[in-house]
Amino acid sequence: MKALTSSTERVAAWSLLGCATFALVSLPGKDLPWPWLLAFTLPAAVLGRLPELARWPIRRALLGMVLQAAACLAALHDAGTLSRPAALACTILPPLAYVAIRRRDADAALGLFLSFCVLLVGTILGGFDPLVIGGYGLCACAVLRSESLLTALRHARHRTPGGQAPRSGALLGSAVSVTLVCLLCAIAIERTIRLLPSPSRADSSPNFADASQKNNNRSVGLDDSFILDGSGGVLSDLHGEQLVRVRAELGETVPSDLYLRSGFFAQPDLDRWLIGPLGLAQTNSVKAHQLHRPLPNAKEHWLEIERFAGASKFVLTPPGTFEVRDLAQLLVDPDREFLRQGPNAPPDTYLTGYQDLPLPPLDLPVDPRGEALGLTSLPADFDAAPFTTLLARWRVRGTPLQIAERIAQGLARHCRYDRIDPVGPYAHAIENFLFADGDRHGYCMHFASAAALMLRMNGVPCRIGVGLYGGVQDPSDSDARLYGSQHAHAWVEIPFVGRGYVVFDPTPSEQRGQGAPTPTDPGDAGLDADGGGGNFLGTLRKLGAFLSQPWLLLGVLVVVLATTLRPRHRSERTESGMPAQLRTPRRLLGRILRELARAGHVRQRRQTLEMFGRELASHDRLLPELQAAFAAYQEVRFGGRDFDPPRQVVLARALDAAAALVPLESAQDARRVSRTS
Amino acid sequence: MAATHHNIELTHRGRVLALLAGLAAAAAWLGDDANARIAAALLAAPLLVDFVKKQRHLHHTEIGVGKRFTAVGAAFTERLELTHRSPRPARECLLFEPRTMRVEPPILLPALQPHQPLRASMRQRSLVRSHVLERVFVLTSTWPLGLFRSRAVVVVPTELITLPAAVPLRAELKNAIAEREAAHLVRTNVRGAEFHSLREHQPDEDARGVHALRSATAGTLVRRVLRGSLPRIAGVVLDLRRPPGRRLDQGIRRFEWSLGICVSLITHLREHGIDLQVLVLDSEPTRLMVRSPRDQNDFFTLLAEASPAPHRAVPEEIFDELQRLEHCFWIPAGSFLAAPEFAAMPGTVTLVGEDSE
Repeated sequence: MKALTSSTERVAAWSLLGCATFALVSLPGKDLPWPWLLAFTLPAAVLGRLPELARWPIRRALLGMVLQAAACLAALHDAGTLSRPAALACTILPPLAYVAIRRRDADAALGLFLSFCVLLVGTILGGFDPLVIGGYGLCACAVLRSESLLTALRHARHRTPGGQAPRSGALLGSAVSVTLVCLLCAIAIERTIRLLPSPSRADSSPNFADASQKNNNRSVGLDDSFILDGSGGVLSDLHGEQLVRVRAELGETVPSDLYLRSGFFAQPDLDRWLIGPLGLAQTNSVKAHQLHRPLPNAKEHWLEIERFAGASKFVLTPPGTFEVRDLAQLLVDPDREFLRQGPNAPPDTYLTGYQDLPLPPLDLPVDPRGEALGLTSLPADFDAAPFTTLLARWRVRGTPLQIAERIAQGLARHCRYDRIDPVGPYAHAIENFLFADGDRHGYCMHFASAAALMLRMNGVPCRIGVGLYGGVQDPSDSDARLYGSQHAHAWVEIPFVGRGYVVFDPTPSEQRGQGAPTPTDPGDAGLDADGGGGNFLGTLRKLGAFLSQPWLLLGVLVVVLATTLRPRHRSERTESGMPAQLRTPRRLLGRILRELARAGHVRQRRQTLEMFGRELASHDRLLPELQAAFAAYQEVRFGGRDFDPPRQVVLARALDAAAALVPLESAQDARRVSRTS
Repeated sequence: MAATHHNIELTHRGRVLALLAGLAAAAAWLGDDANARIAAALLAAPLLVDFVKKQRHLHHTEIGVGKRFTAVGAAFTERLELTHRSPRPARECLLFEPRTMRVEPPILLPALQPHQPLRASMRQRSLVRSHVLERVFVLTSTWPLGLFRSRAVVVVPTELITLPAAVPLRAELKNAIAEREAAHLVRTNVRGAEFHSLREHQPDEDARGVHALRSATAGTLVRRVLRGSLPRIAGVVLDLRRPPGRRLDQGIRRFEWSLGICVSLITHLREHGIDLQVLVLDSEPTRLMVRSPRDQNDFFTLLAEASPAPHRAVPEEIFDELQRLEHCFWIPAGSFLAAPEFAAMPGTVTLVGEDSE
């Protein structure tokens, strides 16, 4: 390793080591136990500490091989074998350790690149860790800062006027400030890229076309994909706006735990669910359409649902809906409790009647028609073995409702709710969600999809229902609730005999209705699922949600770039170069000139005060106060005199005199009149 | 003529980072992959921050530097005064002058505070005989992250006159000059006219010669009488013409050598108190008198700008004055050794550099 001759070199060396350390920390400990980490870093680090070996490359290579082999054997003995992705990641570690320790001229750049690669591998394997990313960013910025300075110092052969050199404290301070800006910028860029219409995200269109061909009964415009990588769902194209306003009739309030279904998915797959076949039929009546007869012993509730632009093509209904009114061109599939309007139907407000039924008894059998409706099928290439292991571990058995409860409890223990796509070594998101080592996380789509697959494995027919959940109270009407795309949600629906589709929601209750991290962040609209956020934390959350809006960040980026690229004129120099003692008289003179301009005497560019005074005199408008003020200003500006109180008084009087000056035309008129008289 | 300007360019490191960021962004866009988005964001953020924070006012730096004479290849230390006319300080700037710092390293200015003059000295070396009317300095900075380089070209309207490198005079030539040097009539250290006596002032004489103190003492106007040695005058003919039929781009080494020996000769003669009447045979003959350091500088400036000229006959009467002089030196810088004008000169002419190359 080179001797560190200056504080800048020390900062650069330690920062590079920090980068390497954070990159190593980002690797998941389960996949890469520390003996293996040491095995892949220590030998290279030792070689990096022996620069004299560079004269004998063959000896160095031999020594390296021996050390590496010994270290690998020791690690194998201590920690066992490595997984394939982890072994692949380990191939980067020796060069990273070598260059981080050796630190020759180009080693910093190479070390940064390698450490970034390791960090990426760690993020892919172990998930996104903001602390590690932030720490790495800080070290990387410090490396870039110090290397930039070191390059300049090398070019100049350390020649600076007076031998001054930047201190390491200042260097680190600037690195910290740059890091903060960089991290903010990275967030903005990440969200901006999300906004771009990705070809992969648009994949649903061709699939939709295929599905349409298979199913002629389906109406055009219906979203039919439920993609498990965060970009699917019926409401996935909506951009964080308000969708519906629901108002309860008969003086009731809208329950906060109301589910509003906009669609469902019945055809399973590991990556995306499809709607499956539909049997839509057009109704003739606009006034009212009854889906089924209401149950006799349950109370009927009526909701008025007002749809905004983003939800104009959806018919949202709560579970237990028996009747819908005031909807034109209504297409209905009564077996699947599915409603949709025709393509050219007006987006009217409509009424829906529903019954809020309690959970069915444990022994209530499922609807036998479920199998005929395709609610028990599994994906074609479905490998049931790992699922069976999980179900066995969770002791899933009993009646359909008991099975559902066990699955929900098992999922709650086994996985964590997070609005980040699951990561892991598997090809499918649902497998990463359920079977990845370490931190298994996902959101409502993954919970619902996993539960639906497990239910079907146990012979319970079910489908995934999608729509809105939660909402916030309408500030203008306490009986109404507002729903935005941030309240998008997915759940499971099980058909029971005599009860229709019953909602079973495997998502942990406190996280329901937080939607999926679609390109439009669910929090964008600033609405809160817990009822408006009247407290300070709620306000902070709203502010955070507002500040993290992709369009806002994109706008800030554009403004910053535009400001940066705006050409600056040399005139700024003269203004900024004005001595401090001149600012006050300059300000006063500016006010005097503005008053004179108001009176019709505009001082031209490049016109000196003397020339301006002569022009005023030619109009017989040069008052003695103005003349004195101009002289006083010029004495201060060019004569090196102080702007003392007498001169201040002179300028203040001139300001009063200028303010009292009548406009030029009026004065000329008055003069003309006096001459005539 | 160069103009003060600035530009921003990607460094090698920045290019690699931009390429990686572009690839990652393309992958994120095509694959809609969250990890690729994170990678693209982490790679692009420092680029963006570096670009936004880049110093765009380096060209608002004023550099104060005076006129300078130097010789080809001679190292000198230039003292500069830099004033940064911008609201923000300029940081970690490398300053150099490409013309004179080809082998010298630039200097690093850690910080240029706004409107605060900073004095710096730079070791420089002009390698080409020239006379430049404006000096071009370059300020570069990669602050803060070294991904973009901000480069400003600052043009300073001042002269840099690079004379030919002086060539040592041969001993024979020095002896010839010494032999022809007459003894001083007045043994004094003071050159030129000095006080001799007083006499009455005549009404038609210039009043500036009146001795004020003596006139006041005597009560009448008294004026000084001065007597001194008249300066000797030698002639120098610098012939820049190429021989007939010879190309201008040949004989450059001899040309430069001749100019160098001309500098040495002029300096030597002036050190001996000899005034010089110089005739430069260029495209148009130029005549000038070298009597003072200023004249000498003017002549040296002419030497700095000299270039070989095509052959052209010179009217004979132009040599009339030179032929009357006590001694004359002929320097055939353009290698025109058989010039008929030289043959027509009297025997008091010494050919300088006849057997040099």
